Amino acid sequence: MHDSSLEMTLSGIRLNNPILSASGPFGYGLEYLPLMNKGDLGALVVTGTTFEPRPGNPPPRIHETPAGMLNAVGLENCGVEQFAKEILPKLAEYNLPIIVNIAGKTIDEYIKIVEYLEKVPNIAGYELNISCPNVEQGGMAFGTDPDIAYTLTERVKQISTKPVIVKLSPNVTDITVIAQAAEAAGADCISLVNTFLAMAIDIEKQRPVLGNVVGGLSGPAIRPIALRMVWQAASAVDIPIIGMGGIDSWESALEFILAGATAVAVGTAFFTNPGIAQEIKQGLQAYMEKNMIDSLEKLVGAALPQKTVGGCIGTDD
Amino acid sequence: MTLPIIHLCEVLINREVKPGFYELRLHAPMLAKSAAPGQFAMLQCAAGKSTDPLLRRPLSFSNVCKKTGSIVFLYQVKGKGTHLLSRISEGDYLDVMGPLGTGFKLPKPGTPIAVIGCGIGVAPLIYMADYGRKHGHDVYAFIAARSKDSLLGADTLTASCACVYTATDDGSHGVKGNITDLLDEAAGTLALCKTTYICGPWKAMAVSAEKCLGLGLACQVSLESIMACGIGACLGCTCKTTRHIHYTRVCTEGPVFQAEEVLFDA
Ligand SMILES: Cc1cc2nc3c(=O)[nH]c(=O)nc-3n(C[C@H](O)[C@H](O)[C@H](O)COP(=O)(O)OP(=O)(O)OC[C@H]3O[C@@H](n4cnc5c(N)ncnc54)[C@H](O)[C@@H]3O)c2cc1C
Ligand SMILES: Cc1cc2nc3c(=O)[nH]c(=O)nc-3n(C[C@H](O)[C@H](O)[C@H](O)COP(=O)(O)O)c2cc1C
Ligand code: FES
Repeated sequence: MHDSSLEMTLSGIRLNNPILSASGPFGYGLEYLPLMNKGDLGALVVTGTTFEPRPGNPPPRIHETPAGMLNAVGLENCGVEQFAKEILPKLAEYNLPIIVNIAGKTIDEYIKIVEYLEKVPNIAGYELNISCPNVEQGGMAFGTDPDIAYTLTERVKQISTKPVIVKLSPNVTDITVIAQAAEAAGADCISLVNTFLAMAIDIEKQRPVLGNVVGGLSGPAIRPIALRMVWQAASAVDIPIIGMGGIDSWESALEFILAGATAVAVGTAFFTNPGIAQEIKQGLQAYMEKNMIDSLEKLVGAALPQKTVGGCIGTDD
Repeated sequence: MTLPIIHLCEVLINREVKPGFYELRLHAPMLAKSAAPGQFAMLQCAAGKSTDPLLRRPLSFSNVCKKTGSIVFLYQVKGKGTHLLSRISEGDYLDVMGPLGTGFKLPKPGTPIAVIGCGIGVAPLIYMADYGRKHGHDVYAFIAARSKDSLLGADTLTASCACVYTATDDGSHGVKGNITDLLDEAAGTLALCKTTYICGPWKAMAVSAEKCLGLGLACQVSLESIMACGIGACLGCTCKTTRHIHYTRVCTEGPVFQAEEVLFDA
């Protein structure tokens, strides 16, 4: 099938299609990519990368909930150096744009990681994870304070030669405030949502289920809220948006696109269906052919009313 | 949409063998050919596009028949996923992802081996015992459960084992006691087995492994962990071993480990 209709540019990154891996569930891609066809994924967003290796949280780290799951992996990763030296070369054969999700405890750590990666070839862009709920410092704290989000984004932009995506936390009262802070600081793109802070309790042990007490909720359970937030953010900023949160079909991917996402990312759905990227791709193509739409761009934000200044969408109650 | 790792398999048999325990036999020629003892598969328990339950469920291969192209799982109904599985009828199709993980390793030819299992932990050992015998090993089985109603494999294992020792908490089958009592009781035979294969609840596995290592026997354990991806990507299934300073993925580096590598108390 001819798929030029899904080709696109996201903040300067050329993509074969708008389907990205969400950072984390897909690891470094080394497990899923060999199972997939070339061209199924538009870009690879690798798991959260810190400067030093991180052990992550004690088990149990995952717990299933209705139509969703909690995770408290806690950013286990091998650190930026090992990623660049050992993992990145193995990804070359897939010929995909690679976006590195960066997680720091402090602004200086983010800067150190970007400085390191600036010297490494074959990286298409950075995604600043200011929204991880599973670490004590940094992570979500950056994502809930617009001033810190602004400063962090601005400082990274000063040293980065690559597109900078800021990944927003949904654990805020008003997503538009942070979205606008990131845009004002020069972010090339925003992605949302990360997981919702959540928990479960074991009624036999009368203790929290997760080793870390709280974790992040992902999967179809969060989709309507994630969609609402993408819609609100799209109404509030002009930079492109990567929409995610519970996407598990081409129909749900399309909802995010219609709400204003230029690209979409899939995480949890890979666990059940490693072939999900291809299904979304083919579904979108069939939809476009059926409706005689020649470019996906025409669908981006098509459900939005005229963008309003300030962009805050209220509810009736 | 078919990935090489996903198999749509016809259900040949799905029957309750003991109260709450089921045997599931699937027509799966590719898996029958490739699945090694100790490996597992992730089964889609939700029907169609249902998101309840969301995740696949890991089950160990309990046997394979290359000739007929069928595979067998033995499972205990625990919660939602296994309950739904128990409702599936013959002729239905199941979405099975596998084979996954690193399985058991055979010792030097000719040496006797032992399989040691508690409750549903016997499932992968049935395949291992069969495989061991086919490779010329004398196999001894030591199996334990709460009562004869939850004792699995006592009959099946007689086909592949030189002797099957059993224990139940209530004494309704074999020795009255738990797996440790059984291993003590049959210590003479156990000591002849140069390599042991253990699967069961965490604590039972830890004490059994300690006993085997104490006797100077090589010992492989099959661990359980909650899994999301089953292929090493999500880092949800980790445990502590001596292999890494940090955590080890049960789904890819295991589920089978050398007992001395596993930090049972961590
Ligand atoms: C490698 C591997 C091989 C396995 N092989 C077998 C097998 O051959 N036969 C068999 O009956 N079971 C096996 N299990 C355990 C089986 O996967 C769980 O019992 C099953 O996932 C429970 O699903 P559920 O929806 O019925 O229960 P849930 O509603 O999900 O949970 C019910 C209870 O089971 C526990 N549980 C959930 N998932 C797991 C899990 N992955 N491992 C252990 N406990 C879990 C929960 O903590 C809870 O206490 C294996 C597990 C692993 C990791
Ligand atoms: C196991 C797991 C690990 C994750 N790790 C990260 C991470 O390292 N960095 C990050 O920005 N988001 C991480 N996320 C969040 C996802 O990228 C995504 O934002 C979220 O799961 C919602 O999408 P989904 O419902 O499609 O999974 C993780 C999610 C899961 C389930
Ligand atoms: S279950 Fe995902 S890494 Fe093991």
